[in-house]
Amino acid sequence: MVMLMRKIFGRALCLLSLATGLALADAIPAGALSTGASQTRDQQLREIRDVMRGGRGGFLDVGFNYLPLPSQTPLESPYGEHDGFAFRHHFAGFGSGAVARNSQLGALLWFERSGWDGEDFFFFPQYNDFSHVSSMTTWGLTFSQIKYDLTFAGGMQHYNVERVGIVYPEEDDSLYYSWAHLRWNHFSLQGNFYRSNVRFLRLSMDLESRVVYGGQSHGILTYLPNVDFTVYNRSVDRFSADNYRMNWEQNLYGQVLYAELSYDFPDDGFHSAALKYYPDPSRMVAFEATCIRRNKDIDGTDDLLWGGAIEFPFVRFAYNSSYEYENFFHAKGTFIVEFQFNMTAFDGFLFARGGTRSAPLETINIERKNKDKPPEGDGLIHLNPSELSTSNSNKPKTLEATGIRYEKSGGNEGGK
Amino acid sequence: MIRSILMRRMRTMAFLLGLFAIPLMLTGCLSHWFIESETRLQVENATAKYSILSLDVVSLDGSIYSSWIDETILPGERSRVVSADWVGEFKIRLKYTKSADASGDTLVDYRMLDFDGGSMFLKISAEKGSLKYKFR
Repeated sequence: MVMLMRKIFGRALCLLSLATGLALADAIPAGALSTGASQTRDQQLREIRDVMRGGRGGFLDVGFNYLPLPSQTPLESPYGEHDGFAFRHHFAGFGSGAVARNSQLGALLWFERSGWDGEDFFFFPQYNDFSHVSSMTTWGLTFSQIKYDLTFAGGMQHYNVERVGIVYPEEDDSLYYSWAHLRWNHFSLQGNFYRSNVRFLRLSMDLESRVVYGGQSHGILTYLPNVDFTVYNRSVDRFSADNYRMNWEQNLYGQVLYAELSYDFPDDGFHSAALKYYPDPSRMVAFEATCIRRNKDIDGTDDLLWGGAIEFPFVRFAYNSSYEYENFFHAKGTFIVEFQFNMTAFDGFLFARGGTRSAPLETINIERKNKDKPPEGDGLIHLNPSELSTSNSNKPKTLEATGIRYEKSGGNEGGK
Repeated sequence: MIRSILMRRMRTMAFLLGLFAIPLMLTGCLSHWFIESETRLQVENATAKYSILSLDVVSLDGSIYSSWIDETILPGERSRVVSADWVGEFKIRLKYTKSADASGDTLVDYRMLDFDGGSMFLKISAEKGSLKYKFR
């Protein structure tokens, strides 16, 4: 009976998925899972770069993808297509505090557990023959000298392999990755190292003026670009020669409309482009239209993938979006839901990662605080509320009688 | 005033979303009620004169294989039930002989089959010299 029920449920689910077009989802190539670690490493350090723009404050990020159907992210192995679930759970935190005048010490932790498994889970995967479950932890300490607008940060990156199925190349834990980040004003230099080898170096120039970091709210300075240039050392894994990537983020209109371009040198050329609209400069909400060149080594084609995404404070919906393609194992052809939330706090401003102004939520808060202030009075805490009305009209009298009142109340309540 | 009401509404919304997130985290556990993540396969040889030697999953290019039912099934017999992690669409290689006692030349038949997961019963019959696969 239970069997039959399961079958019926299964069939109903298949029909549902067909009906919604989700069954047309493209499979995730096994190669995207086995090369996912290097992408995560890069992405986490990019996020750290963004959060460290101010060098102090706090940051919190939490998110996980939610896919209801096993046909949404099937795995493409040499044997065919496996039904199952790609997953990505991540959280990140950063906090700092003053240790001396003009000196801030902080700590940060970025964590991501991701891969593919035969079952939908939150903590305990099925670990079947084709699972790929691994996690990446980046941690570090930060030190900022506010007077010179200088930040130094550094730490380690640990890659922990929980399960690598039979269709992937062998992988091991690697604990010897380290990173360093040096920021001065709008410029930062970031390095990722494996033992004594440099894996990549990134020079970022976040020239755009941001109110939250003491810049301007409008004007020509807000139209300066954010450019970063990364040199990847591919010779270490004998994969290919060095290559370079340039990212260009450009404010197009009032820090709410941005264009992004990513370009690979010397061979690959165009990598991705995006047009992003943030209705509010705090970037709590985003509408994205993206285009990315697919990876020929893994997908077998270098077609352009067009897609888009909508992001709200707690949830993100994406279809063929470049962020999901890059960070969610080349998933495409299906709607991907991510429950996520991230918030940066800096000098009392609250905004999402990369934001330029404080979230509107907080302005409401401030106004509310003012409105909720108790009505103007004599600033005394009245023991008896009924006296409030009389105290204002007969002020001198009340003052004269203070001693008596205190005596009385003290006698009755036994407090004084 | 309106803003403070809005604020309160947003707080309620956030609370409801938080509440909604709790059962959502259990979806993994819930989906296991109707989504099978392994296939328990039994093969029946419904032919009159062929013997089945084995059933394997092979890679699409034929270079690697993984054996699944490794057992000789004579006409009219059923194999043991073997559970494996194959859920999805795979290329199957069936080794068989055109004899009732598993003697003679080994022949090979390739098929793309869809495995939904759960208990599956595969009936292999022969019609006019070609093999027919049917799940029951």
